[in-house]
Amino acid sequence: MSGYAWDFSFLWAYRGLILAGLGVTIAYTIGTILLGLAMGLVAGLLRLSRNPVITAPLVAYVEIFRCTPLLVQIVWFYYAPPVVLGIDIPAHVAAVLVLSLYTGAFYAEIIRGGVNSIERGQWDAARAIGMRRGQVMRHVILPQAVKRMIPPFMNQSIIQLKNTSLVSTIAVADLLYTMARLLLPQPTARSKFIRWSR
Amino acid sequence: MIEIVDLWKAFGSVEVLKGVSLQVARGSVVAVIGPSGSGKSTLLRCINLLEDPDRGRIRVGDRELRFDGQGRTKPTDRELAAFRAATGMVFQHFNLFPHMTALQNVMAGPSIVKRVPRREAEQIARALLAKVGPPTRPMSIPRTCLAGSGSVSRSPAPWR
Repeated sequence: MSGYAWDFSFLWAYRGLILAGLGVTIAYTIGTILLGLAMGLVAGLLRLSRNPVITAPLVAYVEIFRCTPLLVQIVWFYYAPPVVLGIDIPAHVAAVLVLSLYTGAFYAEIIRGGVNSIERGQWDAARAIGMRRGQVMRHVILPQAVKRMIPPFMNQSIIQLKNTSLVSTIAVADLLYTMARLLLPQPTARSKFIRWSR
Repeated sequence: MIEIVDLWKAFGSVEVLKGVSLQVARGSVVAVIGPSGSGKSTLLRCINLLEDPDRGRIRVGDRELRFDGQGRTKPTDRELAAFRAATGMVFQHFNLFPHMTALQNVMAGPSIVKRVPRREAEQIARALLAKVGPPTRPMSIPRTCLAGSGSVSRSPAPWR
């Protein structure tokens, strides 16, 4: 490493490409956060139901997507459908789908946890004055629960920004993919780098 | 009048209320005394149906609900809410809504449950808070109020 000179000025010439990659990363982050939030709201709130027909599939969804590596999920969603179902899913569609489902599972637990953390006395008091369950949630529980959901939600969203880098493995042109193509030696027939093949 | 007839309630295998009957005449005051774990809270919570009795009959005023011990007559959320809207309960730990002002807490019953128009609910609430005494500022958050003012009941019963 001696003799290496720190000089990043050459990147300036590629600024267009870098900005494009950055834009893709940010777009995927924001897009999947919003989609994930929609999924998480539905899953998290429905998960509070006392009906096992409703809760069982939701538990399955949350457990599968939280407990398996995101990279594995991405690879599955991209490479498995053509083999198993005979349909081709474009990389960017698979990427958005997986990232949203993944982060949605975490948001669902954040939401469920937030609601469950409100002490029972609040439910008692609200029901004691005659509120129906929907009114209790809307007027008493959710306003308090949302405050508690914000820190873990922000945490998870920040993590999501980093998660998007994994889409580079299925050739989605995010920042990591762009920079890697730009700067790393590309494998050739004579190179010693191992290459993925489809 | 409040009437409880042959009330049974068990939590799992623990029977807490075994055929309890009680009558409380209108305007009277009854104190329920007993050692810890004897079912005092359970009894109170059954009267306004915060707990589901297993068996028995509960009557408050002219509303009555029966429980036949087989789960067939389980009341709907709406029925339960209507029954509870006619009863009032003050909690040991107050259970005030911390995200609302004292005024909004007292208004919650009439305005959310009974759909009384806002202005009217507010007047009622201010009058009630005034009864409690000067230290209660209507717009203050419950945790800054004196403990005594926490017991201003939010029950909608006064304005039926």
